[in-house]
Amino acid sequence: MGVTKTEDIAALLQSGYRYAYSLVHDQYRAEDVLQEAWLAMLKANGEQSKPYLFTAIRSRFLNIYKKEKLAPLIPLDDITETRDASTEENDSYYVDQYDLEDGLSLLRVVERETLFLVVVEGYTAQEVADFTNQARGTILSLLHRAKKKVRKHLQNKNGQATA
Amino acid sequence: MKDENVEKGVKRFYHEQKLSPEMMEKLMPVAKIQKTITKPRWFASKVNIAMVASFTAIFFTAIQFAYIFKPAESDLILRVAQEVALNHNKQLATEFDADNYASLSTMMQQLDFDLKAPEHLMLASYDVLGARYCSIQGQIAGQIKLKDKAGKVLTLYITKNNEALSTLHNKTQERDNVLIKNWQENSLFFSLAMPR
Repeated sequence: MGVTKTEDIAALLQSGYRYAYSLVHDQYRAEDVLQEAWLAMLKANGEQSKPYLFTAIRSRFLNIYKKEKLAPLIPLDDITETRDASTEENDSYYVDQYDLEDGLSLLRVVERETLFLVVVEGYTAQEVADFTNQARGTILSLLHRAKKKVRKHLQNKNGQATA
Repeated sequence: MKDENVEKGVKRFYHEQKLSPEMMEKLMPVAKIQKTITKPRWFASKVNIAMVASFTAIFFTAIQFAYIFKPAESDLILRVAQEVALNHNKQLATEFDADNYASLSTMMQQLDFDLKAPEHLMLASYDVLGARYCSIQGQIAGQIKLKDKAGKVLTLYITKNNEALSTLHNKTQERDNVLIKNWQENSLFFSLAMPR
């Protein structure tokens, strides 16, 4: 049974928007993707629920980006994966949101999507694997890589700020 | 920096991303319309009297508010023009591909009115390219993509006419390099967006 109360629908749309944002990393494109997905979902008499909406958003995103060939893919090799010695040293919680946005923009779409679904939405690696049609191991690897890239970016920024 | 801190930052970042009120306003009414279309037997089932009473109270309160805070005609024309120009400039892809209004009417089942070819003479020479759903002032509307003889793309919006929209009959407005012409035909309200 999908959500029908006004406040639940508003919350569903907010979640959908955040998921679309995790894919496109741009406010206006995220709104466009959400709008198209929402209307397509309702047209198909889809249940007003998160799984249906997220599926519709993912499908719209893939269609649009396939057509426009705009998928911002960054080859894996572009960002080195060496372990940073300072990783365990700086445990300060404060994370600059602009630096973080910057860091997230460096991720591949699949990495950002995985990070969002696991960290923000709270899905398990297996659930994300089922949803994105990938192996659980791949999801764990993407998640690990995404966190590492963001952490490294933030550490570099912190280093620049303190230098 | 620990993974935990990265996670906290990421959570905070995404929770701060909010859908704009304009887009929320656009998408919410469509959901409500969908609800009534897909569940038509709601009224025939076990009706909760308290719920009906609440809805009735809200409905009449809303009507009272609508009369008290009725927007000035000039505000309305600006808001409609802004909405129409914004949608036109976005040039979103069509969801229904057809070259005539009759086919679009058959395909666009969610519209709460019969989509008819406008009688306005200006429209006779334009080719229909397709359509998609949208909303105008919270009402579901058909957004028809047209092409004129010179190949310029125009957008026609059709929705159910109401007291407020009927005040815009035969009014034109320019917004964001788009010329917007409004008119009404029988029970429908039309708004045509033309690039300048």
